[in-house]
Amino acid sequence: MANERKVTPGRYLKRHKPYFLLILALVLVAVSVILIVRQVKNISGSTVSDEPQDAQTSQTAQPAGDTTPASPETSADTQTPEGTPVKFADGTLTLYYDDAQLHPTRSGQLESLLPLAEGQTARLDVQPLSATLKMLKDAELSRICVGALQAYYYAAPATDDVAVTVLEDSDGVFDASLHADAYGGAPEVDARVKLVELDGTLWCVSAIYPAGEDCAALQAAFDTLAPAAQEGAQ
Amino acid sequence: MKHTAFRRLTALALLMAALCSLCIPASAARDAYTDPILAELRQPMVLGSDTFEYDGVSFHRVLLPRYIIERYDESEYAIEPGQSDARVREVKRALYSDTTYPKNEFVTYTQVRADEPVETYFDDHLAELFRTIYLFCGLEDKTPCIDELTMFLLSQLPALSEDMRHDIEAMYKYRLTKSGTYGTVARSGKLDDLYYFAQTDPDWAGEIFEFEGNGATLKDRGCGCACAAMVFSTYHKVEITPRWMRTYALQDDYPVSYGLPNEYFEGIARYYKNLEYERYGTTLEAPTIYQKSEVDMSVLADQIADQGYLAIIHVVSGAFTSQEHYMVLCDYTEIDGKGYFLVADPYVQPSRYRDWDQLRTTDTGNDGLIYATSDVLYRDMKSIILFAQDRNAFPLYCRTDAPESLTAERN
Repeated sequence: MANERKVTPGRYLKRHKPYFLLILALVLVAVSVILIVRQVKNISGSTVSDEPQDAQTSQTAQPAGDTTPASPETSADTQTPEGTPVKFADGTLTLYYDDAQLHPTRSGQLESLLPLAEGQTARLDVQPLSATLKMLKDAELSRICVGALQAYYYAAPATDDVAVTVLEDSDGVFDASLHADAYGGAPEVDARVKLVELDGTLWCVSAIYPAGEDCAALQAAFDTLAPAAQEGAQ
Repeated sequence: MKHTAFRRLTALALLMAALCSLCIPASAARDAYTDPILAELRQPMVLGSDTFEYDGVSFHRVLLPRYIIERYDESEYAIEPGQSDARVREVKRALYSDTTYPKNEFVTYTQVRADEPVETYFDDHLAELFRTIYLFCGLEDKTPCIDELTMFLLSQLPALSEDMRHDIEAMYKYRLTKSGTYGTVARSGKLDDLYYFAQTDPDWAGEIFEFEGNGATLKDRGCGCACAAMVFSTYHKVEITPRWMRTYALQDDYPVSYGLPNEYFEGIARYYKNLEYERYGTTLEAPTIYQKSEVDMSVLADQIADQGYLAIIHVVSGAFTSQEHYMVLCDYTEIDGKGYFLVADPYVQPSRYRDWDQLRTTDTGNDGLIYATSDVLYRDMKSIILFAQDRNAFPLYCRTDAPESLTAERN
C-alpha cells in the first residue's frame, strides 16, 4: 500500500478512456435520434404538398362545377383593386368586394362577407385567434387551416380527408387552399384560409366555396385581402 | 472488471433507450396544443345538415367537432361486446343511475345485477345503446366499444337536454324492438330476446305475498305478478319487476287463496294504461278474458305470431303444475313441421313438467322458457287473458327542435 500510486484525474481518465468515449458516442447517438425523429414528424405530420411559396405561381383551387376563372392576385405594387373597400380585423385588414353581390356583416368577434343572393352557403369570415405564428409549426398551422374549414360543417370530414396546399408561409402570413370531397350531405368544397399576424394579433381569414355555387365574387374579394397600412401606402 | 464493465454498458444502453422513447409522446402533446386554438373558431355551421333521417323520422344531431373525435384516435384501451371488464361495470352503473338519469332507462336492472357475471359483461343491449349514441354524433361507422372516445361521449350525456336524451333513448328502444332483441338480460349476460321475470328469482322470491296470514311469498304464489311484469314490460318497453306488480296487487286487495284472479290483469292494465305514454308514447289497453270454450288455438297462434299479441294462460293441474298457474304465451313457431307456443313459465323448475312428448326445450339457456303444443295447452287451460296489441309496435318521433353540442365552446 505504501507503493500505491496516487490516482489523479488525468490518470483516471486515461485508465477509463474507452468507457468515456463509449458514453460520449451513445449520448451523440441518442441526441441524433431525437432530432431526426422530430424532423421526420414535422415533415410527415403535415399534409402539405411542397408547392412554391410565391402566391403568384400557386395553384389556386377552382371550385368544382364553377368555370369562372379566379381573379388575378393584387400585390402591393399594383393599382387599388376594384370594388368597395371594407376594413376587418379591428381595421388592420382591408379587402375590396363587389357590393352588387356581397355585403359585410358582424356578429360578436366574427366579421363576415356574405353573398346577397339567398340560399348561398359560400362566405368569408374573419376572427381573432389566441396564438402567434411563431408558436406554431407548419404542421400545426395546416391543422388549424383544416380546422377552420371543418368548423363550417355540422359533421365534418376527417382531417386526413382534407387536401391542403400551402400558398404562402412567410413571416406574418400562412396562406393555404383546401379541398374536401362531398361528405355527410355536404357538397364538394374548396376553401381558402389565411392566417395573418398584425400588431400582435393572429387573424384567421377563412372562405368556403361549395360546389354548385357562384363564388367568383367572393374569391375575388379574398384575393384583395391586404393589411390596411399597406393598402393605405399605395 | 469485465462484469463491472458489462453492467455499466447495460445501464448506459437502457438510458439511451429511455431517452429515445421521449420522442414518442411529442405528437400527442402537439395535438393538445392546437385543440384550444381550434376550440376558438366561431364560424357558423352551414355545410351538411343539422338533422339525420332514421326510418322516415328526422332527428337533430348531437354536434361533435372533428378535432375532439380525433383527439381520441388512439385509445389506450378498447373493450368490445362479449368481453368482461371492470370498466363495463362502471359504465353500466353510471348509466343506471337514477340521480343522473331520473327519466331515462339507458341500462336496466337486469343488466347491472350485483355480483353476477352480467355486471361486468359488455352485453348486446349496451352495444346497441352505443351504436345509437354514435348515430346521433355522426359516428355511424364506429363499431361499439368502450374506449376513450366512448367514455368522453358518455361523460357528456348528462349535459344534453332532457329532450335530446329522450330522443337517444327512444331510438335505442325502437332499434331493439325492430330487431326483436328487446327484453331482459340473463345473469350470464346473454339476451333473453323478450321480457322474462321469474317468481323464483332470488332477488324477490322471498318477498311476502301472503293470503290471510299464511306467510306465502312471491315464489309460492307470485306467478300472476311475474306474468303481469312480463306483459307490462313488453308493451311499455321498460323493466317492471314482479316486486312492483306485487305492490299493486296488495294495495288493491287482489290476492286470493291460489294467487291472483284474472281480473287483476284487467285492473292493473286499466290503472297503468298510460304508464310510459309521456316517455315513449306507448299505451296498454285492458285485456280481454276468454274462457276455455271461447278459445280457438289456431286463431290464438295467428294472433300471437303474426299480429304481435301476448296472452297469459291460466292453467290447472296438468303438464305444468299440480295446482293452478299463470304463464305467458310469447310466440308461436313451427319446429320440425309441428307448431309450438313459446311459453314463459315464471316458475323455473322444468323437472316438474309432465307430458314431455308435448313439450320441447329451447336453446336459449333459460329454463323458464319452454315450447308447448296447442293440444297440451288447451287441455290444461282454464282461461286466456289476451292483450290484443302488437308488442312490436313502438312510436318513433323526435322531441328536440334543434341540434345540441357536446362541448361548451359552441352551441
